[in-house]
Parts: sequence; C-alpha cells; structure tokens
Amino acid sequence: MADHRSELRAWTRFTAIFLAVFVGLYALYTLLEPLLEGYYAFLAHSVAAVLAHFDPQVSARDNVILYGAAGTLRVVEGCDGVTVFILIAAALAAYPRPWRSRLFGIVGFVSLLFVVNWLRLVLLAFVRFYLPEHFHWVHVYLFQSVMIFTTLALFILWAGRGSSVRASA
Amino acid sequence: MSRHPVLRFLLWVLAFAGLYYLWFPLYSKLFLTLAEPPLEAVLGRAVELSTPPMGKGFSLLVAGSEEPLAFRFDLFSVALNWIFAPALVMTTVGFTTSGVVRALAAIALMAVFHALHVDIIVLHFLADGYPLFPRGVSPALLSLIHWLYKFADKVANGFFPFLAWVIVCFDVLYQRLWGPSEAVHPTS
Repeated sequence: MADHRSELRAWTRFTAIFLAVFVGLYALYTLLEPLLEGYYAFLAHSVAAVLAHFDPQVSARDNVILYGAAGTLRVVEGCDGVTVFILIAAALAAYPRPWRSRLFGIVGFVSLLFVVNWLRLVLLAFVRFYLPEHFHWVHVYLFQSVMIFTTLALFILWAGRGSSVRASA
Repeated sequence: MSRHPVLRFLLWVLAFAGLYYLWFPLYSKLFLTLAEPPLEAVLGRAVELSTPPMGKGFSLLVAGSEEPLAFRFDLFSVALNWIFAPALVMTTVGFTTSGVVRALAAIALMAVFHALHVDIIVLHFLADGYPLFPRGVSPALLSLIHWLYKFADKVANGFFPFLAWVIVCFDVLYQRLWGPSEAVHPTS
C-alpha cells in the first residue's frame, strides 16, 4: 500500500515537473519566436557553406538556401529543432537525479540534438536540390520520425544508465 | 531481439512503422470516430468526419449544411507519431503478455490523443467565422483553442507518444528509477 502511494507520488511529481517545464519552455519559445530569425539565418548560411564546398551554385540569403535559380529551401519554425530540445529538456528535468547531473544532461543532449538537426538540414537541402522528387517523403515522414526517434532513444539511454548505476550499487 | 535498448527500440519502431502503414485506413477511421462526439457537443449537431484511405486531407460534414468542409491536413503524417508509443512500451517491458497489453493501452491512448488533435484542428478553423459555430463563446476559450492548435501542431509529434508511454509504463519506469535493484533487469 505504502509502495503504491510512493509510486503515485513519484508519478505525480514526474508528470508535474515534465508538464510544467514542457509548457513553460514552449511558452518561452512562442514569446521569443520573433527573435529566432537570426538563428534561422545562421542555420541556412552554415548549411549552404557546407554544400557550397561541393557545388558552388549553393548559397544563402537570410533564412533561405539557394541553388542557383533552380531551387530554394527556406529555414523556418519547425526546422529549428526547438521542439525536440524542449521535449528532452522536460524529460530530463523530471528525471530523479541530482540537478547538476540533469543540467549537464540537458546541455549535452540539446547540443547533440542541435547537431543531428543541422545534419538533417544538410541532407534535406541535398535532397531538395538533387533529388527533389523524394523531398516531400523525406521531409514530412522520414526526418520528422528520425528526430523523434533520436530524442526518445537518448532518453532511453539516459534512463538505462540510471538503472545500471542502481544495479551495480 | 537485441539486448541494446536503442537497437531494440529501433527494431520495434520499424516493426510498428510497417504495421502503421498497413492499418492506417482502419486507425484513421477509429480516431475520426472518436473525434466526432466532442465536436457534436460543441456544435450541437450531428457531424461526420471522413478521410480517403491514406489520409490526404479530411472532411467534416455537419448536419444542416449541404457541403462538407475540407481540411488539407495529411492525417497519415499527423498520426505518424503513433509508431513510437507501442515501440517505447515494448522496448521497456519486452515482448511479454504485460508488454502486449500495455502496448494496446498505449495505442488506445494515442487514438484518444489523435482524436483530440483532430478536434482542435477543426475547432481552430471553425472558430474563425464558421456560421454554425456557437455564438457567445468567450474570447478566453477561443484563445485557448487557437493556442492548443499551435501547441499540438508544433510539439505533438514527440509529446503524445512520450506521454502515452509514461502513463502506461510508469510502474516499470518507477522500479527502474527509484525501486530496488532486483527490479531493474531487462525483461527481454
């Protein structure tokens, strides 16, 4: 009985922290969205810089990646990876570990997801310009799923590390 | 089945992706049917939601109006996050009776989430001047509908399966995170 009570308490605590951090960060994201134009431009320019090494026709203007006169790829909200940053941050914040460890985890995983998202944009630009017939499928179905998979897989790894630490203790 | 949790998760995701592709026509009917009663309660009329087999757009027919309303939403993509909920459950619990029952529970929860998502999409658009939308709805409620629409549009992809997993498997996660060490051995 006491076990069920403590389990319910733990569930309530986990869910409350998760939802509070998730909704709080999301609200912050929507408030700061107008300021993210610079971030979108950075993503567009950095992706274009990499692709330009292989094909000088690729360039960027503001938040748009250009391929000569043949095609464009616009980096907008949703391409920024912020929603998976929010998910992993909320999940780790709710996780029962010392706060210092949670903070390191959040910074580390958000950085990793930033890199994964950036690579996703490089591949998306490649598909957009060189294999445009596959763009919709890759953009809408494949890469969205890849981002969620990566985020959830990171959380599984994090949770698994917790249990192996406990098991060896 | 692999012992490494991420590889196990990947295999389950691929398996459920195949299943999702095969049963989407049935699944979309399920969550569209679940989405109808809340809309009927709000509009005070019978409604019918339908979609072509692979979910390219859906339509709403309201009793008393002649033309169905078309929504250009790719429901196949909207509900694609479905694959992660049962995959997370099977990764955590393993291919056991308990795992299968929990996976079914996660699937049921995802159907409810997707039904609510469809309701929010429909209400978001109807609230913008649709003649059969009830008058006198408070501005705060309208703002909440629009806020929920944006929220679901942006974050539902990861949020729904994670929530379904935590709800269905919390006792297992609890044992791993807080419980005695003998409870932490993988079950598959």
